[in-house]
Amino acid sequence: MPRRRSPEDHIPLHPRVLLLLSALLEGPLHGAALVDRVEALSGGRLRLGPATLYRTLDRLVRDGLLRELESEADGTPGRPGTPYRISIEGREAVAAELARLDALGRAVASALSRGGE
Amino acid sequence: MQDLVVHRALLRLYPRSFRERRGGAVLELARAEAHRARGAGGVAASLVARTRSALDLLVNLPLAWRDAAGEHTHLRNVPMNDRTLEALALDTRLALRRLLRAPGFTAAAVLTLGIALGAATAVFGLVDQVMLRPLPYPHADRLVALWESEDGRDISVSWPNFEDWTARLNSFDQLAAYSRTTLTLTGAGDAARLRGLGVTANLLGTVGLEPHVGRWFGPAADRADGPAEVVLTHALWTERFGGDRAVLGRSLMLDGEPYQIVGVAPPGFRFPDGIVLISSDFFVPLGPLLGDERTDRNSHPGLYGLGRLRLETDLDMARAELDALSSALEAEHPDVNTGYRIRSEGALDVVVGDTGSTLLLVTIAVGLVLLVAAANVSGLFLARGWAREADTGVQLALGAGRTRLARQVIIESLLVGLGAAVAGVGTSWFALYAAAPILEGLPRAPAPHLDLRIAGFALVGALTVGVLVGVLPALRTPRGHALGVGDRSVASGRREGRLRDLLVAAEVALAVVLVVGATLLTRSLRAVEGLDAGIRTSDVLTFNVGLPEVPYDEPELAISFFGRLTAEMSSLPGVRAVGGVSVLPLSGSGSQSGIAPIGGGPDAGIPTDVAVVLPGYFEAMEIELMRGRLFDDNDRAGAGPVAVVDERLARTFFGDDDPVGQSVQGWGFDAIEIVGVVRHVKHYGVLQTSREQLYVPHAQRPFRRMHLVARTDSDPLGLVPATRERLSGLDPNVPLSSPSTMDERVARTLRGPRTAAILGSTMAALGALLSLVGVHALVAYAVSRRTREIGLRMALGASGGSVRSSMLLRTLRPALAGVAAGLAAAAVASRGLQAWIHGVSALDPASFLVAGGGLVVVILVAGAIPASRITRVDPVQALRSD
Repeated sequence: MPRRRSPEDHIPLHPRVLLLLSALLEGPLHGAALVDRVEALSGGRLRLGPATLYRTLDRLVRDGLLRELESEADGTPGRPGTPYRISIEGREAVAAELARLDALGRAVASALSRGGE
Repeated sequence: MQDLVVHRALLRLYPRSFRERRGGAVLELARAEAHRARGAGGVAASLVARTRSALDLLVNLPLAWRDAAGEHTHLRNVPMNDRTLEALALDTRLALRRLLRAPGFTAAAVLTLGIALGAATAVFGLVDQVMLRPLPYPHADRLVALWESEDGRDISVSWPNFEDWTARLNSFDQLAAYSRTTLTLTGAGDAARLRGLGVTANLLGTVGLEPHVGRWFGPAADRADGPAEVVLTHALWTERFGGDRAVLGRSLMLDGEPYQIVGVAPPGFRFPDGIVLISSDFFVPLGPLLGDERTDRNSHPGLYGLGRLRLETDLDMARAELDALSSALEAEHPDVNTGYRIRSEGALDVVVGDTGSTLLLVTIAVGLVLLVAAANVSGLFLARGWAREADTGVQLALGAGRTRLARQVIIESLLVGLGAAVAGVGTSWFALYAAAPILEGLPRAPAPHLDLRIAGFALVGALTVGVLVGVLPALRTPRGHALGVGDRSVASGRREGRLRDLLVAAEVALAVVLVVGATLLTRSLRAVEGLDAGIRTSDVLTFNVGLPEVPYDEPELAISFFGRLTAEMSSLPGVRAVGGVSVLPLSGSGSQSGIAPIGGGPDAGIPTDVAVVLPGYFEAMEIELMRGRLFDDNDRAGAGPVAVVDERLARTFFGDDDPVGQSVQGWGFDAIEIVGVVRHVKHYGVLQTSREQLYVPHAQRPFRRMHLVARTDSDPLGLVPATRERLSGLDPNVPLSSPSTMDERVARTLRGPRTAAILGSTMAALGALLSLVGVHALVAYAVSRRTREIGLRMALGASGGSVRSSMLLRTLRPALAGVAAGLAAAAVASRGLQAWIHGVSALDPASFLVAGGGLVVVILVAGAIPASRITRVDPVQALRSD
């Protein structure tokens, strides 16, 4: 049972995690489709290997940021074809991370403009 | 290749919880990725994709375990794995470039490892072909050879016993029997003595093969009135009959009788490949061949059993049943079966025989050679690491992680390993090719060839050795920046020196063990070659002659034929004595019968090697007459049966009394009078046990198949053409078979010790050579590193000579220590060699002295060469060097 934690406990998110969660924002996906979506989101730079993908997914499920849907095939979670869905906590974590990045970006941009002469 | 076999294997290393939850999904995705890549870029791309996902599995393994342990893997802090893969690729490219830029080092490392790896691969190929490869029959692992033993000595089966086995054993779903037979083929090309097997109808079915053409025998084959049919082996069919299917149904004249050809065996089927030590040309039904042996439980006419275990049993369970049956048969027929047990062995083990232990020895030796090579190359890497300490210091100062640097060393050593794998495969093929004459005597005739298993072994071996070689240098990667302090620091100098010394000492010690072992094996071989078998084997020609039943059905015809033959041969120039015997010594087989003194009780009979001899046999073989006389013309058919016995039988039955004039019984004779006593002959080989011996003149028991022996002045085989001529002058349908010399036969029995000695010596030479290269490199390196010190000492007035000798001694100390350690290790290890050496003690001081002393001398010489360069060092130059 994932413990209820506040979004701040999860950030800063590892870039790979951010991409994974973001890929699921528009709806549940499974295995191969998820890999394709992450690749697209990262501008073609990141194609996850199978072990990396599932290890991360496993972890995210345990931390409560994702949920597994039961596969249509035989109702057991974790089987090939099981789609993953982002949870409320996951969405909140993405939002928190986005806010952090935004604040960071603004701080760096203003330092850049001040420093340039 | 089985689908994703590597991935499955890697997955098995993952924590079970992860494997159960996600394993299927991981494999499915890997498969999908490979499929996708194939669509985009073909097979190559699919292979790349497979490799990437496999590496991905490898890299995630430790992380998965950390997750499973419950620690918080900070997903924020873990470096991105895909970047790690890129870094790995970059490091590999860099390592390759570095290696190519130092061709001397790389060549030395690759060659050293490559030669050792080649030897190891060749040995593996050998072991694989002889011992690991299953016999080429379906269900070969369930085939079991069966025979009997009498008071511990192996003999063949008697037919009534075999019938009891068939009726009462449950462990086998098929039980068959076979026996060797030779028949003379006439009327189809040159007359020839063919070797074949008499078989029960179910033998070929037991082995599980279908006839290539035609059929096997029907059940009538086991009856005494069985059909005169023959099945040809594929080899005979193609050689003699051109592979023509029309031969089916035709008749062959074997021993003057027509046999109908009913089938041809599948190709490559030369049963029993090694169980009986000859190849066979044909198969005939066993039933008609058994005469009196069919009902005589005491007669063991060279019959052997072959069974196929039931699926649910194994050999151990079957053996329990065999023991029980042995005891039952002993109790039921105490007069003939007492002391008889049923023996069994897996078919493959029987074929491999003693060679297994020789191969084990060679495998251990080659393992030692590989260790020497690994120590050598590891030392090379260490030296290179130290030489590049300045470089490394810079890298460290610039922020390179120590792990990364250490990883680079391992990558380099792995690349060297790969290069060595390629060199090794080539070397192994060449080695097997060159060693072919030594190897052809081994069972299953290994031939040099490359297959995936051998190449796979070379690769795996190379990578393993590569990692091993790199471990030590990688661990020695310096921690901090060594800029400024550099390699002149005393502390690091001492460390590097000690490690290097240890490696060299280890190498030399291993080499010493190898050389001691080889010396022991060689001395043992010499000792065995010198053992006396009781006969003089030099310059003796041997060959077989078998008279067909038709027209030689009357005993007088056989007697007169062989009488004329020996007379003809005696008249040939260069022939000093001619004789004949029914069973040749040192041929691996003998014929036994129970012989007892007259009036002795039922237990007084002992199994005795019996033989029929043509007059002149004892002279030709120079078997010494010790008492009484040999056979003469008066000992013929109709006269009282006479025998010549050996000194063992005389002693066993009569003690110190004179046996001449006494009588014994057995072998179908009610009473035979002993007329002479001869020296005992080691019939089965100088190292094997032998039995009491009894000889009977041919005139009184006229066998139709005899081995002729002739002592000649010089080259025995040179007489063969003339002999053949005389023989065909007597009867053109009787061929001269298997011409050979006694020396050749002796050599065949010594094949095992000879192979062990030769291969062992080769390994020892290899190991010694490799370790010497290591010693040489050590001294050269030490000299080059200490140039400054040498210059200093010489500038301060020391003579070149004294500097040289002190330097030599100091650097050679570890090598000499290695010799001492090696001798001690060899003393312990040689106890394990006891099974292979005879006539020489395992702690034979001469061997140890020669081995140790020889290596010390060579070490000194190897070290002296670079040391001699010291005197040429210009002190001024040396002091300036940096």
